[in-house]
Amino acid sequence: MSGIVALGVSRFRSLGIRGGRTGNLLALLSALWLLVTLAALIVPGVLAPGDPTDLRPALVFQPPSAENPFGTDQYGRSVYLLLVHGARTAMLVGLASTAIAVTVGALIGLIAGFAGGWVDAVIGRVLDVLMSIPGVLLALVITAGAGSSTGVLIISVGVAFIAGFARVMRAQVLATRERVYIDAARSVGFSGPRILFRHVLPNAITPVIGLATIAVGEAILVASALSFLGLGPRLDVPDWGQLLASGQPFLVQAWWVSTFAGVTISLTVVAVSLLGDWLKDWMEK
Amino acid sequence: MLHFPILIDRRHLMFLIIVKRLLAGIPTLLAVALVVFLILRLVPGDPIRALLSSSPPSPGLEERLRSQLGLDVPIPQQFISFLWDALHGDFGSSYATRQPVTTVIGQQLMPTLQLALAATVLTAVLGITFGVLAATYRNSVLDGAIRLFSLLSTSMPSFWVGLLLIMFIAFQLRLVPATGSGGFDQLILPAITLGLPAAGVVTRIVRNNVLEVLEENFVTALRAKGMSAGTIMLKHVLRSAVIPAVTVVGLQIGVLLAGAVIVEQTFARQGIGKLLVQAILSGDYPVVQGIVLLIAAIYILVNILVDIAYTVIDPRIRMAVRSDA
Repeated sequence: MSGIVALGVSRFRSLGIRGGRTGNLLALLSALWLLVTLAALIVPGVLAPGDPTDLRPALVFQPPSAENPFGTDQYGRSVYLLLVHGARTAMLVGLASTAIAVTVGALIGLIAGFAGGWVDAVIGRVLDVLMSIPGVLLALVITAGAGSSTGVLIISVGVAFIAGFARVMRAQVLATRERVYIDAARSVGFSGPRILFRHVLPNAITPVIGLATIAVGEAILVASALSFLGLGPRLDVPDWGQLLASGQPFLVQAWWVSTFAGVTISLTVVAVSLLGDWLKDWMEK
Repeated sequence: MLHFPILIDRRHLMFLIIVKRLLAGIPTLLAVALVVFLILRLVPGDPIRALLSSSPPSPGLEERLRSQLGLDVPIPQQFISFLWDALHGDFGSSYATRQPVTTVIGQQLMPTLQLALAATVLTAVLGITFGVLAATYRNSVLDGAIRLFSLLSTSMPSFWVGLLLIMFIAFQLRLVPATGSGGFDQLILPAITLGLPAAGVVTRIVRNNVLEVLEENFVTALRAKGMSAGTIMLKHVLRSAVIPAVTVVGLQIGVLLAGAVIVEQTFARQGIGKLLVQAILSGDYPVVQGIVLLIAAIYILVNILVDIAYTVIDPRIRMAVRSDA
């Protein structure tokens, strides 16, 4: 919940893992982990056959074993099954909310940067306002009004990130529109929209993609925090944040419930972040 | 004697700038109020239904409650009367306890402010120290460790970090109490939990800034003149590298206040974060509105103050402002 996306600062995050063998290896491992989570999103039954919501009173708090690799929770549900099937919520929220934020934010930024004048001024003020409500809080308020479900989670996290993308996009457009080739395109008589989509957009897209990879990780974190607070999807939908929260009162008896959920969330966010870094370096080369 | 008029002039100018910036924060805050107000009223979901869900159905009760809480008039009118009351220091009453919102929030404000302040200090100290160390010993094992810290602290869910701290430091080592609020020992773990992600962000920025400054020409010149690396770092690099970090620490305060919502829940601490979650779960809109507005106001104010502090610390900006005005 570092709020980097909410601030729209992309250049701040480079970890300094510049290519090299270690960088490539880390990126490869990250990609593998994300492939596993994507597989869990698309075909959870293949990775973990069985019903994750199956309540088995006889198997409450079983420690990790061959049968239940990550143990069982207070209802006798398999933690492994819950984690695999819970990837759906996490990845859907991460990807879909970022998609909303990128599309809407980039469009707003493009319009503001290209139109300039009073349009830019008005949009700038609106973004200022959105930015003065911290992202987690904005998402909280939206779920407060609209009730909790995966759909609301996607929209509220997405809305919270819009301003960051709009800022970055606007800055990029302002930087590119003064270039000579844009002048050239204009003097040839190309229309505004054509210049916008054919010339300005492709040049501005790199930092937006960089920010988008951070946004996916942050969206997963915000979503898991909201479910931790009891504002996530319904209780019978497997969800990482919810699982982590449900293991909290039983930390001493059954460390495995919260621990495996926490490790899964962290690994996913780390993987997105490392892969994003690598991708950014690769695009800048 | 020649100093005098210039001095007064500058102070006068600073005062004007401060007033101007503070006034500019007011429309932003009004707009935030409008946004929060609209989100809570336009999205589907009805506080009256939520309030009545636990009591037996009785005809006419819903209408009576609605008019009593002022929810039967059109939304623009509701907003105007909310603003008018707010101007007089009245932010409405909690649906749940019927106490004024200002009282409800006031009772819970101190623990959260203490937590946020402790976390901010931690963020600044850890972030700047780690960032400078990592840049100084670039590509060493220390740098690698600090970069790993920065990656993990921004990637781990803060409530899980909280649980790990509870598990190891409170339960295993029994150094501090696991939960509750009040004593200083109960502040330590929550402050660490809240401060770590922000510290990770600041570390990264300071590291990058120091590395950038180290490559500038004036540093090369100082080196050529024979100045030691330590002196260059302390006297010249730090100043230009750390000033931008001040802004980021300021910006993180909003994130920290919002993060307090999660941390207070993890450690079962009193505070406005815990209050906010309760208010959201019970549909207590006036309290939700009050807390979000308060956090936004603090955030806006801190950003303005950071802006001003920036002007004071960095002479280049001060000169720009002077020639501007």
